Amino acid sequence: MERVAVVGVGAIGGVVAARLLEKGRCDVTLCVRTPFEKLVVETPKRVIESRVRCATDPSAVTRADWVLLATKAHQTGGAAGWLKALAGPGTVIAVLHNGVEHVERVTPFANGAHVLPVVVQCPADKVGLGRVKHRSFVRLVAPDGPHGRGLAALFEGTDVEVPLTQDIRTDLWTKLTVNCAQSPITGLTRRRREVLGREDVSEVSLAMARECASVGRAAGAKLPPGFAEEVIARQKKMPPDATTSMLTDAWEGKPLEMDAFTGAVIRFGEKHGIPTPVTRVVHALGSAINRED
Amino acid sequence: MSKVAVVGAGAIGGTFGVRLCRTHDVTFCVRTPFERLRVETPSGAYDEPVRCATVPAQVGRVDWVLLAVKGHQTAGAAPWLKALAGPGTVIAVMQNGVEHVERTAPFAHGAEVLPMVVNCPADRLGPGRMVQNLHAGLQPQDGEAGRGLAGLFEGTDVKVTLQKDIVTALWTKLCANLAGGPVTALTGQPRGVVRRPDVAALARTLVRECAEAGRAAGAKIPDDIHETAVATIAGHPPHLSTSMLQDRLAGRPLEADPFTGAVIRAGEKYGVPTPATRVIHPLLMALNGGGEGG
Repeated sequence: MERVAVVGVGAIGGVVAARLLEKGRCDVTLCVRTPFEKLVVETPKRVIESRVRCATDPSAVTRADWVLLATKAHQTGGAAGWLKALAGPGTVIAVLHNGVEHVERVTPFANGAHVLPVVVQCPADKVGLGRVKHRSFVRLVAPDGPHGRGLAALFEGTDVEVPLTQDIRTDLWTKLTVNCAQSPITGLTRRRREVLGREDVSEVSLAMARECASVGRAAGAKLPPGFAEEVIARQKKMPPDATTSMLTDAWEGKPLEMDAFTGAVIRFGEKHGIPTPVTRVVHALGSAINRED
Repeated sequence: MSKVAVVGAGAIGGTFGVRLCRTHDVTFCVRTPFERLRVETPSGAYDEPVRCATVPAQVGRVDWVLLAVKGHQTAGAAPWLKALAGPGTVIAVMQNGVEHVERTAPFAHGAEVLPMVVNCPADRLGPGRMVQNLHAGLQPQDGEAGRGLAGLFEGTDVKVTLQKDIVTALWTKLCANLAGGPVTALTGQPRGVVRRPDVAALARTLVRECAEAGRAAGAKIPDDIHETAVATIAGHPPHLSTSMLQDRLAGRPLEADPFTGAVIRAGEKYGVPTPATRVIHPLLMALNGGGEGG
C-alpha cells in the first residue's frame, strides 16, 4: 500500500486528500499545524466526509512514497521539517503550488526525492478547520514520465483528473498569466472579480498579463500571440462575485502570495531582459499588505 | 463683519470656520447639522454655538464661501454655490490638488474663485467635533481676494501667507501628498510602509512624475523633490496615518481624482509620460467601490 503524506491541508490539500481517503487504497497522513478528526469536502454534487489521521510534528512521521506538498508557495521553508522526515530517494514530492518555480523552490529541501511540478486547477476555498468548499473540477497537470504516470495512477478511480504534458513549462506560465491578470488587483483593491470589469482597471490587468506572457515566452513557454488579450477576454466571462485566494488572504489579514506570482515575473524578466514596470508597481504594493515589518 | 458660508464641515471647514464664528456672520452648510462646534487645537479648545443650514433654500448670497468639501465632491456642492455665490462673492477653495479654479469655475455664478494651499492637520471626530493636531495655515494666491482672506482671519491664529506663484505652491503640495497618500491607501499600512525599499521607490516615482507634470505646467519644483518628499514621510512616526488611508479604512471614496487624476491630465496636456501614476490611479479609484472608472 502506498504511503501518502499531504503537507498543508488548505483548500487544495483538502480536495486531493478527500479523494484518496475515499478511494481507500493508500495510507494517508495529513501533516498539519492544527489537527482535526474529520475532513469534510463539499462539492456541488456531494459531500465527501472522511475520518483522518493527522500528524502535527515531523517526529510522528516516517518516509513516504508520495508527498503532496499543498502549502502556499511562501510556506515551503516552513515545511522543511516535514520534508526531512517524509522525503528521501524513492519518494516523489508532487508540488501543488502556484507560480512557476516549483522545482527551484522545493529541491533544496527534497533530501534526494524526485520533485514533480504540478499545475493545479481547482476552484476551492477552505471554510474552516478540516472543511473545504470545492466549487467544480480538480485537475492536476503533471509532466509526462514515470512519476507523472505514478501520480495519475494514485488518483485513478477518483474524479481528480491528472492530464500529462510534454511541456509543463507552458502550462505553468499559462496559469501564472491568468493569475497575474486577476489576483493581485483583487488583493490590492479588496474587491471581487467584478473590479476587473472596470475599464481603467482592465487596462492594468491587460498590462500585467502582457508582461507575464512576454516573460514567459522569453523563458521558453509557448504562449501564442494575443494570449494576454485572450486571458482578459475570458476573464470578463467569469462570475463577478467570485473571489481569488489573494483577495481572501487580504480580507483575512494574511500576507499575499506575491513572491510566487509577481515576484517570479520580475525575477524571470530580469534574467531574460524583459521590462516589467507595471508588475513592479503591483508587486511593491501587494508585498506590503498585512505585513508587520 | 462679513457674511461667510462654510460649505462642508469636515476637518477643514470646522477648523477654519470656528475661528470666524465670533467676528463674522457664519453659516455652516452641511448634511448633518449640529448646534455647537468644538475644535481642540494645540493652543486651546473652541466651543462655539453655530448656525447650520441643511438645504440651499435656507441661505442666500454671501461675501465669502469657504469651499471645504474634498475636490471630488465639488460638483455635489453645486446647489449650495448656486444659492450662495454671485458677482461680489469670493469662493475660497480650501482643497487639495492643483485644479481649484477649473473644478469650481463651472459652479461659481460670477463669483471670484480663489485657489490656495491648505495646511491643516486635523481630523473630524463627528458632526461639530474636530481635533486639530498642528498649527493651521492658508496660502492663497496673492491679489485683492487673497488679501481679503488674510483680513478675514486677522486676529485669529490662522496664518495666511500670500503666494505670488500659486502654481508652484499648489504643485509642490501635491508632490508632498503623492509621497504618502497612494501607497498607504493601497497597502492599508500607515506611513512606515514608505520605509520598505520597493514602496519607497514607487513613492519616489509617483512624486517624480507629478513634479515633471508640474514643471511642464509652469511650477518651479526643486529637482530633488522626489527624494525629499519621500524621505519626509519615511521620517514621520511610522504609525501615523494619512487622510487617504483614513478614507480607505472608513470606506469612503478616495480623493484620487484631484491627485493622481490631475497628474495624468496635466501629463496628457503637456506631453509628459506618467506611467506609474496611470497604474496607481485606477486602483485608487476602485478602492471602496468608487464610481465607475474609465
